[in-house]
Amino acid sequence: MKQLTSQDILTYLPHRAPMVMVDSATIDGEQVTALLTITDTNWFANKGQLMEAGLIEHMAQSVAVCVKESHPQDAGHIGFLADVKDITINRLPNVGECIETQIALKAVVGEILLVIATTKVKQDIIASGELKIFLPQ
Amino acid sequence: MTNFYHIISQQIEAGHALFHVQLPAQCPVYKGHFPGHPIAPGACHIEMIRECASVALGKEVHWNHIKQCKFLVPLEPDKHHEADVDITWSEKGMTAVVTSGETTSVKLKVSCNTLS
Repeated sequence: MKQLTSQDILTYLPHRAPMVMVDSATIDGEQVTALLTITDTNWFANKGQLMEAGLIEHMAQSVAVCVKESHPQDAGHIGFLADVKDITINRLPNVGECIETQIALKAVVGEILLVIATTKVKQDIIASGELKIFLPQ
Repeated sequence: MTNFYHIISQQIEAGHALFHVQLPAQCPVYKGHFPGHPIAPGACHIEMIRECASVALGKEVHWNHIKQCKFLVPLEPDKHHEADVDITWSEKGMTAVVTSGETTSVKLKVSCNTLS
């Protein structure tokens, strides 16, 4: 099992503060789990919770971490979130909680990547849904 | 989300609201999204829509199901200084469109409810 620190994450993502929404990751074989501990200084925190938008941005950046892990030569390459679909939000995470996101690849169509993101707090699924990422070559 | 947008004007009626907002180029979000290549993050539009919807409905709006959100054209702080947030809602849900001039940036479709 490999651990990525917040410093490593910055070599995986083009994002910088205050827009970094993944702060570490674990890689177990092909399974990448992207982590974010919610702080009250998070850009998308409001009244002690991470808002829906923050969850979606975290999911999108989790995809970017997965892509870089499988295609290290593309590190720092900018991808764009094109579309999200059927995002179910069971609850919003609270400040102090750590959210963990796993990405399952559904399809690759040309420069479009279709994935399912699942976000948990401990064992509970708090949000899941489909994301379409445009990765211009 | 401080400083991502300021509401300049708003028209609120039953089931529909239109907000005209300013998008300040000096917002700190552009330093990180992305360094040397500033574009408005799609997620910031989602939060802007949620906050405007909360103003329109007079209560904190949260969503438990986003049917779809399309990010069509990213707004750039040097080009797009203002935007319109057009929100329509009923018991079934809510739709919202963010435009800046001729550019349609974001289209959102959600089931609307207030989470406890």
